[in-house]
Amino acid sequence: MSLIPLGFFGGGSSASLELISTQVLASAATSVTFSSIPQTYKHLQLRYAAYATNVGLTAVTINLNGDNASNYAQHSLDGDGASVSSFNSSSRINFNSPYIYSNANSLGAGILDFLDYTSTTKNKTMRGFGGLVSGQSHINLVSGLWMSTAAISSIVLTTNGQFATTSRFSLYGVKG
Amino acid sequence: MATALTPIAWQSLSSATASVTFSSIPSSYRDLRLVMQFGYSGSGGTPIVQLNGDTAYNYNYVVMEGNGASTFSSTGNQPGMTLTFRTPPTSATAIVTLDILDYSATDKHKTGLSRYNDAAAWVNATSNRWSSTSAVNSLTITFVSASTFPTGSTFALYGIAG
Repeated sequence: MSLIPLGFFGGGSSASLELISTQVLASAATSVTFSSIPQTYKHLQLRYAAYATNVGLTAVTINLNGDNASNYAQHSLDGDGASVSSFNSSSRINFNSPYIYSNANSLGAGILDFLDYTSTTKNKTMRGFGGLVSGQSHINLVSGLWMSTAAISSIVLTTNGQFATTSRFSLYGVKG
Repeated sequence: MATALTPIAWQSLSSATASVTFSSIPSSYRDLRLVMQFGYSGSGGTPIVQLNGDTAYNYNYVVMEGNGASTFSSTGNQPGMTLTFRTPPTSATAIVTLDILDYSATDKHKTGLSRYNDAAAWVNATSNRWSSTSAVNSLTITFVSASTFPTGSTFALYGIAG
């Protein structure tokens, strides 16, 4: 088989994807945490299909290693069904991943890659792809920068309101 | 640790074909990933993916595209998950990846995220929703209008554990 299946852009044909952890919410939650992330992979991939309660359209925000200081930057490209817009922001206290919405039939889906997450010599880069349709319609490409050379050991996802029951979050390791 | 990415099936066309179907898809994975390299010949180039044989307009989409000169976004309904509204090349050189999340869930509509690349034309990202809580057990890749995939088109389906 010659096609390249990893990442949303594609990855190395010899790479493999391993499941680290999946969380399917049995009750609404204000945040979802992946901690004690193994340091044995080259990259991480986070996949979610989620919706929100107590809020309308909202981004999923991400903090790494519990860092809530202004160490994040972001660029994004968004299509809303009428036009395409671009956004950038620096000195942020987190970065946004693609939107979710308060409609159980309009799951927001996201696929995020964290590259070289164990490196202790590089700042960390995240690229993401996601979207949702109905009620609100958005398709997003995002990139995020965490200005830290620390290896990523935990990821915390939060949103305005809460993540609703049945929302699903999976973290994978990508071998290099 | 076992790999979470498993090849389910693979098809390579030895002759031009109007549709390609993956049936009896196992329900044992969390997500599906379809990887295609294809082109088109015919009267209409909009490639779509129909789930469980549903050919009705039960699929909502939002698309974002750019071609180096302008950008475009639209939303609406189609008789399948939409991969692009741009006419693919006549040779099998366009690339699509489509991820269908929580495809085996029976309490959710299904969300599909696709990326389309045709180096000679547009780059595209699309989100789709199938308005059904049925588990996905088959995929049919076809066109809205009568067209065919050319010889050499390839279609690979993967399961992602989770």
